[in-house]
Amino acid sequence: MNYTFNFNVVFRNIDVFLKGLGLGLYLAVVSLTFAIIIGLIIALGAVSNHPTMKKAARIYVTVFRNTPLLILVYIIYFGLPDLGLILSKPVAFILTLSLYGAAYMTEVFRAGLESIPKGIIEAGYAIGLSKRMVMLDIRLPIMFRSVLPSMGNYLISLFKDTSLAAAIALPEITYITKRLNVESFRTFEVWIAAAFLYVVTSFLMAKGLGLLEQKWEIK
Amino acid sequence: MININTNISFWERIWNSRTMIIDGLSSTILVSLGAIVLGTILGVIIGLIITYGNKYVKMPFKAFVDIVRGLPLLVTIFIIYYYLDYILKSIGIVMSPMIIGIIALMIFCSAQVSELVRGALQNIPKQQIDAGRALGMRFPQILKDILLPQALVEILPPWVNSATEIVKGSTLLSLVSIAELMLVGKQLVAKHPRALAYYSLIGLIYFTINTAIELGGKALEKKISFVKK
Repeated sequence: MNYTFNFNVVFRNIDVFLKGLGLGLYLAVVSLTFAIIIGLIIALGAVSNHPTMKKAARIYVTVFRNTPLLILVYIIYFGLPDLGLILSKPVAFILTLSLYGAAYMTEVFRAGLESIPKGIIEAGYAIGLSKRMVMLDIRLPIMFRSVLPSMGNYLISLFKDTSLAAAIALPEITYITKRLNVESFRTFEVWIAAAFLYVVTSFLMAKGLGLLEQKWEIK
Repeated sequence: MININTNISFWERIWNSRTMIIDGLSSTILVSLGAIVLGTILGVIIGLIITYGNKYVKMPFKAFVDIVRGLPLLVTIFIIYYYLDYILKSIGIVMSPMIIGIIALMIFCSAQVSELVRGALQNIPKQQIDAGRALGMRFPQILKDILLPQALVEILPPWVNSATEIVKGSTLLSLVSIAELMLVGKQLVAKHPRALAYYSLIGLIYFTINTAIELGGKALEKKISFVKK
């Protein structure tokens, strides 16, 4: 086996790689934002006393947790046009990742809401707060603080999931790497570069989120 | 365009391509099962090395786990697919794409499982090892009779989750043209452009597999947690 490494193609295209990284991060952050909003709404349904809403929330979570993300991407990007709904690539991908992530966020929020000690909630009622005020002023703020680490970790996970955008030719890192691989035949070099970008970015995100967690820790 | 026959012919088409779908399904099951079984064995071994190995022995394994967990599965698949293919071809071995797919998913699975095993083993109080030693047990025996039974019960629920993760991840093999269920779905859509119907059907099959795994895992959990008490 004789292979001479030549990283020129990587260095020449470093701006393209970084743009791809930017797109991946953008897709992840936007999707997480929507996933949090949708997930919160569904989680409120899941912890409510309404049996139909509880059931609907459970069905949503089961369906989106047990279906592969790639199929969901295809259903939304290639399938929805059959119903006359044509979405652009970024919109279709963000929609898919948001719906997919919302299922996970629902579970996180539900667990967070259920883990709040009953005494605190009862104390709220005892001082005369309404059900809504207990939710908004007591349960949700406590829950948000306790789920911050999970939310941070999930952002990293979503960032890795943005690699699937390559399947619908959105130019994030994986797609760019595939293209450079075909153009330059520098297989080893381009994939090393891509792996390096993903690992370093995930690592830095984990470190940054760790610092934030320390800062916001409940003392 | 829309007529009464559209619906019938869709199911007829599905029926006509049943062998394709069944072939794809069996490939998906084979690849997933192979990756889960081999990846779990490898993952338990790596987890043991990382927890109990000495500093220098565990370093490369720790690096391996951290890198694989930092990479998207799709990138791992591309890397294994291209690298292994290149290396094997240059030494004159031709490996079936299916085996390359199993290897890629196995690597992903082993990294996940090793983290689960490490976490579970570290949760077991050190005194239990000392207690075992005090009874005159050797480490392999302590491992077999004290540590592993507890750790394996502990990791069962997240391990079932990893198993569904592998089944879902196997769809990514279609992006390097490994013939499994997802690729069959793409081929069906290429022939009759009714993407929504075909992809929904394929999605439903995956959903069924994963729900079955989930329910099976829950049943097993109930059985085992009974033993634990």
